[in-house]
Amino acid sequence: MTVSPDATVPATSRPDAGPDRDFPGKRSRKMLARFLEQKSAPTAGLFLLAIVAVAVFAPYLAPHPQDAGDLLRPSEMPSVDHWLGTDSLGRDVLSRLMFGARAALLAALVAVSIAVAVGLPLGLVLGYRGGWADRLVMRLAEGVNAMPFLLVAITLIAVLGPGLTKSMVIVGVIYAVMVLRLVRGEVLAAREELYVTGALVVGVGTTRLLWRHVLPNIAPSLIVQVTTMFATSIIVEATLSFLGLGTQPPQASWGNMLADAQASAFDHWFLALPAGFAIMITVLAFNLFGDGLRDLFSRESAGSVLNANAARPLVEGVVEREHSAGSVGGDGDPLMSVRRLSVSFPARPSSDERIDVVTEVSFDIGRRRVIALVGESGSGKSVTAMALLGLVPDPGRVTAETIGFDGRELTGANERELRAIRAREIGVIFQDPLKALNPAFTIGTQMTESMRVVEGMSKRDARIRAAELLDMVRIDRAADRLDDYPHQFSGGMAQRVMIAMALSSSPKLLVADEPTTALDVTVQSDILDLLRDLQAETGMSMLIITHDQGVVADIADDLMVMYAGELVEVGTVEKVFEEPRHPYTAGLLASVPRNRRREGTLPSIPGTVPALDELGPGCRFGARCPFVVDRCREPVDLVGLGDGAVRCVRAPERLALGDADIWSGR
Amino acid sequence: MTRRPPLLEVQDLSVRYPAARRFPWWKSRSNAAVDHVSFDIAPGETLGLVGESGSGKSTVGRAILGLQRISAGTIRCDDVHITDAGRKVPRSYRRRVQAVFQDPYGSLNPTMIVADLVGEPLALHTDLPRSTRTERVVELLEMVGLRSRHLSRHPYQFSGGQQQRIAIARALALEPALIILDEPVSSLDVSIQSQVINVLEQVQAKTGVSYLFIAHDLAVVRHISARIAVMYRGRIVEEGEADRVCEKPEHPYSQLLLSSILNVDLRDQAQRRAYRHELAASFRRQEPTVDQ
Ligand SMILES: Nc1ncnc2c1ncn2[C@@H]1O[C@H](COP(=O)(O)OP(=O)(O)OP(=O)(O)O)[C@@H](O)[C@H]1O
Ligand code: SF4
Ligand SMILES: [Mg+2]
Repeated sequence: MTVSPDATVPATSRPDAGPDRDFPGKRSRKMLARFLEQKSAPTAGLFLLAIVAVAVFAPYLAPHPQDAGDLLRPSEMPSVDHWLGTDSLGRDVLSRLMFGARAALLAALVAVSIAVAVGLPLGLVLGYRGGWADRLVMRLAEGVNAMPFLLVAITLIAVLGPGLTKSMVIVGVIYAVMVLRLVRGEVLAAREELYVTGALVVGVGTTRLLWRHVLPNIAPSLIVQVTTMFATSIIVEATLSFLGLGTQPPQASWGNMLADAQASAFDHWFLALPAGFAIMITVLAFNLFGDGLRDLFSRESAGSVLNANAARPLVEGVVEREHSAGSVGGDGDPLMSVRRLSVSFPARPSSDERIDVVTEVSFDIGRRRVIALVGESGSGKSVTAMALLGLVPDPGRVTAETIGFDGRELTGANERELRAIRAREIGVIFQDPLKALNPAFTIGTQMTESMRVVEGMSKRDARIRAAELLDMVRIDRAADRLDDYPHQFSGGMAQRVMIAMALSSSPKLLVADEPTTALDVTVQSDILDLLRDLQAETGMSMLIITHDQGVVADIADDLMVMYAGELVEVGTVEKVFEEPRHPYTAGLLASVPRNRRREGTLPSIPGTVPALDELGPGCRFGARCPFVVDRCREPVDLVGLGDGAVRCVRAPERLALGDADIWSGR
Repeated sequence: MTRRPPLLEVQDLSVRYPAARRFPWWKSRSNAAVDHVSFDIAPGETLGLVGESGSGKSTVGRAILGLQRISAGTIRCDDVHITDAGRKVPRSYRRRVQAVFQDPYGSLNPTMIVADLVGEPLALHTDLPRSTRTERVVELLEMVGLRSRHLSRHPYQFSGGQQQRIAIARALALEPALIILDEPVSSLDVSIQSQVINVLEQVQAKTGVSYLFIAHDLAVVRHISARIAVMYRGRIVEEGEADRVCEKPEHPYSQLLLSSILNVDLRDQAQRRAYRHELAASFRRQEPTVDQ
C-alpha cells in the first residue's frame, strides 16, 4: 500500500489512489476457481463429460453390437464376457447401455437445440418489442403451458406417428415455448434497466441492443434453464421409448431397455438395474451441474434474517488494552455500552477465510442522547446497528466483549430474549419506508399485528392505540387512514407510519438507519423535526445512522465517525464540528456542499475507500490522508482525547485539518 | 452579462401520462407530468433544475433525450428539432445530446468492459480504426481521472464514484454539445460527490459542453450552475441567476426548499429551523398537500 499523497496532481483530478476493488485478472478464471470450490458440481461435470465421451465413441467402446445377441444365452447374470449380463434376446446389456446413452444425449441435444434456436430469438424480440404479436404469442404459450407437457407430446406423437427424431422435435417445440417465456420475462425486466436507456441514448440499434447488451445479462438464467432441460429431456426420451413412441427397437435406448426389463421382471430382476441407474445418475448429474451454475451466477449468497446471529462473547477474557470508547454526554450510566464489537463475513461465499467488516468498535449511548453514526457507504454503519440488535444475517459472525443494554448483557443472549428486547425496548426504522411495509395489508392491520400478538390487546383496543400513534406522528385523520394501503401513502407519510410502529412499545432506544435518505429535502426536515420532538417528549435515546452531516447537525448530540469498519473519531457534535481531530472527519466536513457563492473547486477527499480485504496493518485512511507520515504505517489505536476519542497518531499535534486549501488540492 | 444564442431551446413543453382508468368506459384522462415548461441553455452553460421527487424534473430530461413522448411544445438543440411525438430521434441529434444518470452501476452494462463501454459510442457513430478508438478512450478516461490500466475491467470492479466517472467518459465520447445530468451525484458519498462535480467542471472548462444538471440538492446545484430553474408540480415556478435564487428566492416553494437545506453550521441550523417552521406553516396554508 502506498502511503504518500501524489503531490504533483491536483487532488480532484488525481486518479484514485486507493487500492482497487479487484485486480485485472480475468473474470472467467475467477469464476472457474469459484466453481471448483464447490464440490458436487465439478464432479457432476466430469461425469457428464464421461457420458458424452461414451456416447460419442459407443461404436468403438462397446464390446458387442447393440442389436445382435446370442439367442442361446438370454437373460444371463453378469459374467466376464457380459459385464452386465444379457437381455431376453441374449444381447449384451453394457453395450446397449452405451448405445442408449447415445440415444439419450442425441435426443436431448435435438430438443434443447430446437428450444434455444426458436425460443431465444423469439423471446428477445417479443420481450423487447411487445405489442400485439407479443400478446398473441403469450396467449398461445400460456395455452401450451397449461397442459401437462408429456401428455401434449404423447398426443402429438400419436397423431404424427412414433419415431425418436420426430418425438424430440415435438418436445423441442414445447421446450421452445418455455425458453421463450423465460427470455421474454428477462428481457422485459432488462428493458427497464438503466443501461438499456443509456445504450439508446448513445444511439445503439435494436439488434445490437438485444445481442450485445441484453443477451449477456440474461445468459446465466438461460444456461441454468438449459441444463435442467437436458435433464428432463433424458427422462422424456426414456419415457417415450418405454412407451414405444421414441427409439424403435432394435436400436437401444434406456427407455426401451426398461420396457424389456419390465416384460421379464419376474424371471430376470437384474435387467432393470443398469438402465434405471443410468437414467437416475445422468439426470442427477445434470441437475447438480445446473445447481452449481446457478450458485455461481447468483453473486450474493443471500443470508436470511431468520438465521440472524446474536453477538457471541469474546472468549479471550482479558482486556489487553484499555478501550477508549465514545462515552460522551448523558446523565449517569449509559443506556447502551458496547466494547470491542466485531462483525465478520466470509471473504467469498463458501470460503473459510473471513473478513472483518466491523473491527473492535466500542462506544456508549447515553440516556436521553441522540448519537449519530456517520461514514461512507460500506464503512459498516448498518452492520454495526444490526449487530446491536442481533440481526446480522447468517454467514455473518458477531463477537463482542460486552454489549450492555440497560443493565443487561446482550452478548450470549438467545434469540428469544433478543426478540423480546427488540419487541419492547428497542425500536428500529429503516431507509426505505415503502419497502418496509407490506403492500398487501392495510396500515391498520400491520400496526395492530404486533400489539395483538406481543401485548395480547383486543382488536378494538389495538386499533384505538394505532390511531393514537398515527396521531402522535402527526398524520391527519389518523383513524380513517388505518384502512389505507401503503401505496396510498407518500414516502414521508410512510416513514411516519414506520416511526409510529417503532415507537408503539415506548422503546428506550430508537435505532434509525438512514431514516430520511430516500425522502425529499422538504420532507426530510419534517421527519427530523418529528423525531426530535418525539425524542424530547419520551426521553428515549436514539442511534441515527446517516451519511449526511446536515442531518447530524440538525438532530444529534453525539457523533461517531466510522471509516472502513473502524471508529476513527467520537465526540459531541458541537466539539467535532467545531474542531475535528481526525483528518477524515475534517475532510468529510470540508467536502459538504454549502449554500454559498462558489469559490473555485469543491473541497474533496482524494481517492476511494479501500477494499476491506486489502487493508494493511497501518492507518486505514493512510492512502487518502494529506497528513500521512511514516508512523501511520503502524497500527493506530483509538485514543481518548478530551471528552471524545480519535484514531490518529498526529491528533495531539493539533494540525490545521479543516483548511479548505488542503482538501481542494491547492 | 450578455448571453450567447441558446444551444438548447425548450418551448412550452408538456408531457402527459395517461391516468389509470378504473373502468374501460370511463373517459380517458391524463395527468400532466410536465406542464408548459420553457427554458434555454447557452453553449458552455450549466442550467440547474431542482424540485421535489415527482415534480417532473427527470421527465424534462427524458423528453430532451428523446426517450419520452412529448404531448405539446418544441425542443430544439442546435438545428435539430424534436417535436414530433414518438418519432425516432435523428442520429445526428444522438451525437449532440448525451446523458449521465443517478445510478452509476445500473447505467453501465455489467457484462461489458470499460474499453467497450466508453468506446461503443465511437464505434457506432464514427469509422475510426480500432487503435485510434482505444487512444481516444484512454484520453477520455484520463479526462475523468481514470487510467488505461482500467480498460479491461468490468463495472463491478469499481467504486460508485469511479463508475460515475466511466459513465461521464462514455457520455463525452462523441463530444456532445449538451449532457443531461440526472441526479449524477445523489447516490454518491459526500467525499466522492465533490470529486465527481469537480471532474464535471474541469470537463466543461476543457470542452465547452453545456449541462442540464437535474438534482434536488440546492447547495450542489448552486455550486455548479450559472442559472437555476425551480420546478414544482410540473411547472417551472422560478428561474434566475443561481446566486439570486439561492439567496433571495421569490416563489414560496423555492423559499421552503432553500430553508430545508440542512446546514453543518450548528448555530445557523437552529435559526434556519425556526425560519423554516414559519415558512412551512404559511406554505401549508396555501398548498394543503405539501407532503405528498
Ligand atoms: N450479508 C452480508 N454478507 C457479506 N457481506 C456483507 C453483508 N452485509 C454487509 N456486508 C459487508 O459489510 C460491509 C459494511 O456494510 P454496511 O451495510 O454496514 O455499510 P454501511 O456503512 O451501512 O453503508 P451504506 O451507507 O451504503 O448503507 C460492506 O463491505 C458489506 O459489503
Ligand atoms: S494516522 Fe492520522 S495522520 Fe496518519 S494517515 Fe492516519 S489519519 Fe492520517
Ligand atoms: Mg447502511
